[in-house]
Amino acid sequence: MIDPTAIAATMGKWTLVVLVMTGAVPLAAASYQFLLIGLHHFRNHYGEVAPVFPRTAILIPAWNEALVIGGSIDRLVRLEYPPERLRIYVVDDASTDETPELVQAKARQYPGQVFHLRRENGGQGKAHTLNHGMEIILADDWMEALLIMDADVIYEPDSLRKMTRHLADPAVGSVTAYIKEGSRPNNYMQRFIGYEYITAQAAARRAQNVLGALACLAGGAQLHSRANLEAIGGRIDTSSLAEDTFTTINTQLAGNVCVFEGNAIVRAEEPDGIAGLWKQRLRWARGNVQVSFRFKHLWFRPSPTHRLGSVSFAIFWFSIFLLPVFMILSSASLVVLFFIDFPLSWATFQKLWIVNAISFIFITTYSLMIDPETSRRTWVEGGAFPGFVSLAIILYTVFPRLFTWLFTTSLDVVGTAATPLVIKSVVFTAYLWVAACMLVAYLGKVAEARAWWRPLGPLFVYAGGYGPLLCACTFASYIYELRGAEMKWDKTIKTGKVAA
Amino acid sequence: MNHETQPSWLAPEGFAEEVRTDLAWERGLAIKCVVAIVVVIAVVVIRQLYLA
Repeated sequence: MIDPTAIAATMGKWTLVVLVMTGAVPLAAASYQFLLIGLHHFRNHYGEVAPVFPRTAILIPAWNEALVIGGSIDRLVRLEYPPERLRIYVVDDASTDETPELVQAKARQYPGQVFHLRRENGGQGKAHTLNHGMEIILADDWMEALLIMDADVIYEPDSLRKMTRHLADPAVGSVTAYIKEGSRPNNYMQRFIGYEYITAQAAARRAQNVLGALACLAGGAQLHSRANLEAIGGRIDTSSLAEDTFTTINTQLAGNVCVFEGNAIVRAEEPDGIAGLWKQRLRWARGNVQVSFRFKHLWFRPSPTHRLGSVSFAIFWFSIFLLPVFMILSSASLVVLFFIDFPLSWATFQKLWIVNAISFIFITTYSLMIDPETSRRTWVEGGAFPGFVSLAIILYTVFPRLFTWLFTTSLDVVGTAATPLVIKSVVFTAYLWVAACMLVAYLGKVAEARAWWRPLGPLFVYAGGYGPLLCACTFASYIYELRGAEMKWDKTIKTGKVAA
Repeated sequence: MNHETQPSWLAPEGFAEEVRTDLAWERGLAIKCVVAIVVVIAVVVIRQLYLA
């Protein structure tokens, strides 16, 4: 005889098991993305490149950039690019420091090559500043290509021409480069970001090249053909905090191809603390929420004109966008299973971490080989990316006996024993940790803001994890957007620490 | 532009050489992908042997 209660209980448990395993979705999706990089050699745009040097206008939005703008202009005029085909336009967004005087001096030093455009009513954000410059540049038919960059970034001498060569193919509307964290000296946060950029740019964007759909043209390195700018209306979207992602998606919706050129290197100064990172990433994450909803008609809907609707691209996008949701669901389901069926919860937990451990080993090993120059400085942060506590769980998953020996020895040292209560407490903490790591990493931000606690900030990030800190930021972006918080353009502070 | 003073990156052969170098880098990444997969397999095998 069928017992409906028993069936419901079994279905409930298996639903919880499925929810626990959603915690493996982000890393499994990342592994799939990294596998595609191996195909980039066979599926790339190098077959279509040619030595073309379109008349290129470089557009630099600048607000109080006196520390960096002079050096940036000097380096730009020395790029390996025919000088008569290169112009630099600095849109000074009502700067109150010496930016206008410095740019005017450079305009006199490089006549006909450097132009100072002043915006008297500034402070509306980067997109408005860019539109001011684009309107002027598009009004003149000299420009054949437009490079949008940030005032502080440093282009390798060959980077611009490595980008323009892709414009030989008229199907290409935009090209972006590999932005590396370039601060010297750098600190722990900049090393975390340096490693993150290997995974998020050098790796992920190559995979997106393979898919034929790019998620984002880096704000500091966007090269557009004139035809593409005209196709997207000659303006940058000003209604969101992710103007570069909007431009990227609009470019592809207009039927033009976006290419990531991983061998064009651009160096940028990134935040040196949790507060700066949080400000920057909250803006990006809120922008991604806005993109997800604004382009809701795109996801999982393949189209003959672009690849943004492919299932793979949607998996990549939502595995990042929904990462905090997956972590919280997974952790909460483990906790419920802990109380109703402990053996099942333990077996599921082990399966979750086997997938995570395999994905972590693959992604980390591959990332460290993708950019050896950056890896030499950031390998510790690469290993610590998920946080030391999660690393301990990975160690347990891979080598359980070794971990158990280390654990019991540690307990002996502090004069206690691995009683059933201690073991169950540790297991329960590990279940909670799947989501609580975000909270611990967030405590780093809280600690950094308080003078006496400041030295603990990095400890929380290493323990909780840099990845979970970014997840916490994504979670915060949901709340900000639900509350309809004001969209503020908080500029990342630049001090000119990027090594040329 | 005078051919004598033309920088190598403007010369057709310089361009072709550069593209070959970049493609070689991409081929290297494909090989590194295989290496990373081998590392994962090695870890899984060591784990199984360790647990046996």
